[in-house]
Amino acid sequence: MVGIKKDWSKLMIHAVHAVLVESGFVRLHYVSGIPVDQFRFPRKKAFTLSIHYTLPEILAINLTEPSVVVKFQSLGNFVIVYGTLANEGPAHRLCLDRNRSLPTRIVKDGLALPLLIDLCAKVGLPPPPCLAGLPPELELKIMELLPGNDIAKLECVCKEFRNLSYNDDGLWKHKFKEEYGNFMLDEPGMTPWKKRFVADWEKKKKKKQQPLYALQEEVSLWTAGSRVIGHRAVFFNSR
Amino acid sequence: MASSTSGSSSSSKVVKIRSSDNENFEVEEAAAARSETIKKLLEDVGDDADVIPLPNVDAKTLVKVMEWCKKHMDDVDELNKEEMKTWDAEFVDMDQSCLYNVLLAANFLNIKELLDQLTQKVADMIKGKSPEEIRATFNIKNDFTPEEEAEIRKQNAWAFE
Repeated sequence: MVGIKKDWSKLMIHAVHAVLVESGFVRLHYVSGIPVDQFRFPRKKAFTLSIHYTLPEILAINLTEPSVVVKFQSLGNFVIVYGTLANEGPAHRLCLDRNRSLPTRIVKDGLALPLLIDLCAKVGLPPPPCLAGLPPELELKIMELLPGNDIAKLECVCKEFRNLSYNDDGLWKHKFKEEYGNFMLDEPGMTPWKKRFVADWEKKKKKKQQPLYALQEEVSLWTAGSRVIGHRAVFFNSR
Repeated sequence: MASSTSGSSSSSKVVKIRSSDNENFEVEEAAAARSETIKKLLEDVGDDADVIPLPNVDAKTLVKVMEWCKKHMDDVDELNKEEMKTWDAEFVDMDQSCLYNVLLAANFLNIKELLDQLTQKVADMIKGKSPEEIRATFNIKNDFTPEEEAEIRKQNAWAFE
């Protein structure tokens, strides 16, 4: 077992600290609650270390709470990092491997940004730039680039995306056209585009799932009615 | 008035732009003009322009955007297209915080091609993920009531099979 005192875990902790500072966090002294830049490791050999952080915007309104706690735990060739809102909330967890270089991106995306989002939400500060916080026109632009089934899954994520996908004429008409071409577009039917898209999707899926014997049956029906056309005709026919 | 822009980059004019956190940058006009917003501002103020302020973009983000603009300053010939594709793919491969900042900046500065590349990148990150995976990847809170969630899952069950 290697304690925090071992150099490589110290290096990891320093690197994570640097990423958090770069992301806008300031370190708080855990007893006095005063912001401190300096960083000293405990002199006794320790296996865990907790560091408190907050944001300058929160300090500006004279609050030291709420803050976030980042706990480092040294375990053999790994340092496990847990980040939470102080005293509550689920932890964002990272596992840093001694044999790999520090994954800065993972620290940013898996620790710094989620903690920033949690803390801003807790204090009522505007959220940092994030997917669900983009202007609706950009969210819609991103949705237009997704295949229909991925849009449907995105709808199930949160209200924001569910509401955006109600945009039947803007989003689903475009998707229908993309998937099935222009034909039938001017059909005066009042069916919503999403419904049509889903109906055609289901039809396509059924065709794919058709068991072999059914296919063969279709071939014989087809060939009985006309001349020998063979397997390919079935695929033509199935469109 | 209208100066020639067809010259080589070595002789091209330089414009000054200022980030929201008051850092000044000197950029070739041809690079800065990839932004329709800056281009329009340059046309409006003409040669009297001292510094163009960009109140919505911080220095860190502006550096990224201008890096892209410099690379895309000249038209790409067929030979370099592949190389450019690789460069673009590496460029958009950044951490999420940076990605959204550059995305918002590209939107504000009206750089269509960059905006297209970035929105495509985000779409690629969403593709093939379940709702739970999307929430985890993008730090999105589930704000449905259990009843609402059951309803929306039922409506979209077709997409999960």
